[in-house]
Amino acid sequence: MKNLFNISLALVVGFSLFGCAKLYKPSNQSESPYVSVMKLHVRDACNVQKNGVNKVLTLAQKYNPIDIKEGIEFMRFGVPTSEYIRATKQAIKDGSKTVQVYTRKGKKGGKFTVAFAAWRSCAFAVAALQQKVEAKSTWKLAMPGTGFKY
Amino acid sequence: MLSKVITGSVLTLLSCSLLSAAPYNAQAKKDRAAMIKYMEAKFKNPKTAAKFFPYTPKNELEHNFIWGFPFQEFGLGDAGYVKSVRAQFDNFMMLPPFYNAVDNGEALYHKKFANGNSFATCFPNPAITNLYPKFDDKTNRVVTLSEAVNNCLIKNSESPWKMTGMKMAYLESYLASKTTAAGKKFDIKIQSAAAAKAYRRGKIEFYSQRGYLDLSCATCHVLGAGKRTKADYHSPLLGMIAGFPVYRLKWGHVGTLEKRLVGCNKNQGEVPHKPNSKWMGDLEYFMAYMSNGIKVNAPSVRK
Ligand code: HEC
Repeated sequence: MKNLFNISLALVVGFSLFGCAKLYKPSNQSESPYVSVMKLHVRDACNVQKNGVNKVLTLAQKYNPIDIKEGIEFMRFGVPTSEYIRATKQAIKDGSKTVQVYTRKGKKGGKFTVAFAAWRSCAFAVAALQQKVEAKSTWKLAMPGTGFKY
Repeated sequence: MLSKVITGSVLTLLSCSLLSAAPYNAQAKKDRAAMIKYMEAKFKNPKTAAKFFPYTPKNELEHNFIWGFPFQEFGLGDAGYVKSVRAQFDNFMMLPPFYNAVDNGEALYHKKFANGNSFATCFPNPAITNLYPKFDDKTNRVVTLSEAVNNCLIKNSESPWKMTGMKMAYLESYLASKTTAAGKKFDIKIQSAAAAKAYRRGKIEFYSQRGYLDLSCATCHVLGAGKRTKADYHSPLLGMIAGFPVYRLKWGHVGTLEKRLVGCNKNQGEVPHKPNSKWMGDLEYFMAYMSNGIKVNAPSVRK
């Protein structure tokens, strides 16, 4: 009986230490992208004038692969986010002022300034994942029988 | 005394196992009842229309809506509740443009594979489209009608077909016409925990906002059922897949459900999911369950 008590005491102490250790863990780069993305405001984070093209593109490239993996990559008029990113990088490399994007079928999908294309790369990449996280609670609000009022 | 205790515990055990077997579709049943209640309330009565259609011109509600139509007519898509669309629909059905699609499908159904079998070997009874999608516990995956067709091809050492292609649409037109002739209603089953999970995934995808336009399927086909995008009235989720494959005037030919879903998914502003993806299977499973009790009425005609 005494043994049992000791074991449970040890367990309680162990769990609480573990819990505290978790609490004190500083937020670092290993923070889940599903958490970090929710701290961003698209208008600020993807603002090219404020942050510069490179920083904005870096953000786009951080979240776009996760969007693709989740099956939620944005696409406008046949041009997916990843194509905006690719074409913007290409334009910077070529020293070109304009970005030519292509549709998934290989047709011309529009010409943009580097700043605009970088903004769209970032805004689409970030918003897609934010939307996915938000949907975890908002889907119910659209459904008769759960949250949808009429 | 002892025998009483034994019978008692056997009974308890039995009822426990029955109880745990029954509820796999319990949530889905509830969801379906709530959705039907909403749709019936919405299209019931012009007097309550203002509540559901605050922005639709009164004139349109009074003159172009069919109110309180029979439950089975939810299977007609937007022709169910829009007078002008119904008139067009009736016109087309006098000389259905999908006639030769059904004939082509019948020929494909009987055509021998290289090994001497045919689709008739896999589907001896062609009137089966009301039972798809099915959940397959062995592969832990939803099997859509198109996937079942491809599984049959693969089993007989033939190459699978494109799910959005013409051959698939023809064969399914034939199977659906046989199911329609037999008067069969959608009868989708959820019989395991894994199946219930697939249903739930499909449901969440249907109700989740997606794409750069931030729209869910429900924005247009539940809340938005009865409203329009430009001149196109949105069909209600209830009965929405009963007409597939459909002959679309825009396409000029019949097309599968997958072809349509890829289109709607793309319109939301995201890279559309693949026709044979798990996502597509889950979504179709949910949509088909919502249509349980509605008669298959296919192929059909749509704008
Ligand atoms: C912007 C609004 C909009 C969104 C969002 C949308 N659709 Fe549609 N959908 C339409 C319109 C318009 C039509 C053509 C008219 C009709 O039949 O409803 C249509 C047609 C369909 C049809 C064919 C119905 C028939 O009877 O022929 C299906 C099935 C469908 N949508 C499923 C979906 C699914 C699943 C989603 C989410 C992945 C979705 N839609 C998202 C607007 C939308």
